[in-house]
Amino acid sequence: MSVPFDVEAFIGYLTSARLLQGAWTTVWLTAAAMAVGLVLAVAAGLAQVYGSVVVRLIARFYVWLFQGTPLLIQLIIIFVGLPQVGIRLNVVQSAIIGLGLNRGAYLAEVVRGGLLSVHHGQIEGARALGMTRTQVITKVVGPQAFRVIVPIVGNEVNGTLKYSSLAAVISMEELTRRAQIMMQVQLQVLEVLAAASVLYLILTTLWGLIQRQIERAVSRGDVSQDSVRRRSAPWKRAVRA
Amino acid sequence: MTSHPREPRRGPGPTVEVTGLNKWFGDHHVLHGIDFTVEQGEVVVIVGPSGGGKSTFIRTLNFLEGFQDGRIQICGHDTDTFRKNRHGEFRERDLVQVRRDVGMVFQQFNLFPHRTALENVAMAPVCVEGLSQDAARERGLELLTRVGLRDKAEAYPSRLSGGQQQRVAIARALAMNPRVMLFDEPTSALDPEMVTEVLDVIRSLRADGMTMVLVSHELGFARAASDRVVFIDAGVIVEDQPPDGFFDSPKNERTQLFLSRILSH
Repeated sequence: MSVPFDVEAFIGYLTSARLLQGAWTTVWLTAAAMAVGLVLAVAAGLAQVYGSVVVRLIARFYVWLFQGTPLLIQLIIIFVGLPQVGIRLNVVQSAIIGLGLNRGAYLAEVVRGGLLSVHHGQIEGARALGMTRTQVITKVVGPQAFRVIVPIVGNEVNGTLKYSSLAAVISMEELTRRAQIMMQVQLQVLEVLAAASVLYLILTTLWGLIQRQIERAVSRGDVSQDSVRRRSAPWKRAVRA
Repeated sequence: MTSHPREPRRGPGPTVEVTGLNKWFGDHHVLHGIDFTVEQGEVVVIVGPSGGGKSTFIRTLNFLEGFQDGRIQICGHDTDTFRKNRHGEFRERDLVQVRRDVGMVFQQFNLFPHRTALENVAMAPVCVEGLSQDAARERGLELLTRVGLRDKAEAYPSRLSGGQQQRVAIARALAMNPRVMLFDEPTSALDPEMVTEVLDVIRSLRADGMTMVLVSHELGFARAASDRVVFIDAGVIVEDQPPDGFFDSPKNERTQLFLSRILSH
């Protein structure tokens, strides 16, 4: 027995306040997790490249731990497991910290790679002018690493939009959780999940457009990006990729 | 230098005086007890075979390379008065002071690609010397004019030819009003037609009385525009003479062999 796809119901779900609220929660959860992740990533990235042996080991351990275990388990441990040792975080805190720690570990590698991608001659040029170590990092290496890092961080935002769905398992009321509940109530699995997927696609597409603008803004002075600037129409992105 | 002359900070004496400098890379003894002096206003060209230690040596003069033994006195700074950190390295505070007085130009220019030509030149005066943006900009434009690149002030390095980039790099080093300029193979990465424009700028610095040390393969330049030519081979200063003597009657066999190989075609 087969039931035809209910287009009307699908459109209803797509525009329902419950799913739209869920999508909004996904947006701010992603933003908050990325903010936490970026701070951790910059710290761990700098630590790995410039830190002392001890600092380097701590950063390495963090990256190793959070890259080497599933995000799903990390979230459950933070929300359900930590109260056992007296650390109680609410759903929202757990979701932001869990996602942030996890994304931070991946982004730390991106930051590290970006810092290492800056040619050693740049550091020597800056030091020869009398700049201090801190100035070399903030004025010369940092800005150049930033350009390398930005497109990758952009892709990580896209990834985080979708990884945030795992927070549903700790009952974070984001898009996927809302869709799950709606699915169980309405019993229209295909229609509800199709609506949720379309909302995810809208979010990732919008982010793609924003990302493009950011990349253009930071590529100033970089000749290798000139061709990209000229062919900046978003619908041509797939061709370049 | 026409602009911003700077008085020596301590006493007269030579601008650069190196005594008994030894450096090892692991087991490899790259610099063997080098003694080397540059008087104020002198132009010294260092020549020698690749791998002989000449680049390593010039890089020790502003401490981009460390060394294990010896003493460097440069522009009134003296390594004997420096303190070392717990890793046995000189403290950054001392080295930053030296580097403010010592300009350096690299083979690969090492301009900052994310900054315009003018920003490259004006950057160190602002963040190292604490000059105001406006004053640094003015000094930058003045120096770009001096190297013939006033019209490229707003260009990013990637838009400039190699010769132009190297001239910006020279202007950038001059912006700190150095008392000595070091050039590490400044024309080796350039196409032949661009070598002259860079050497012309260096000659004009000489005409202004700038003290300079160059590692270079431009023997014609060494002969015409230097006060002394130094030959370094296997980490040892083998020959140190005014250019006429160096090229016409080298005393050491290794210098003779080196010159005969280079000048034979």
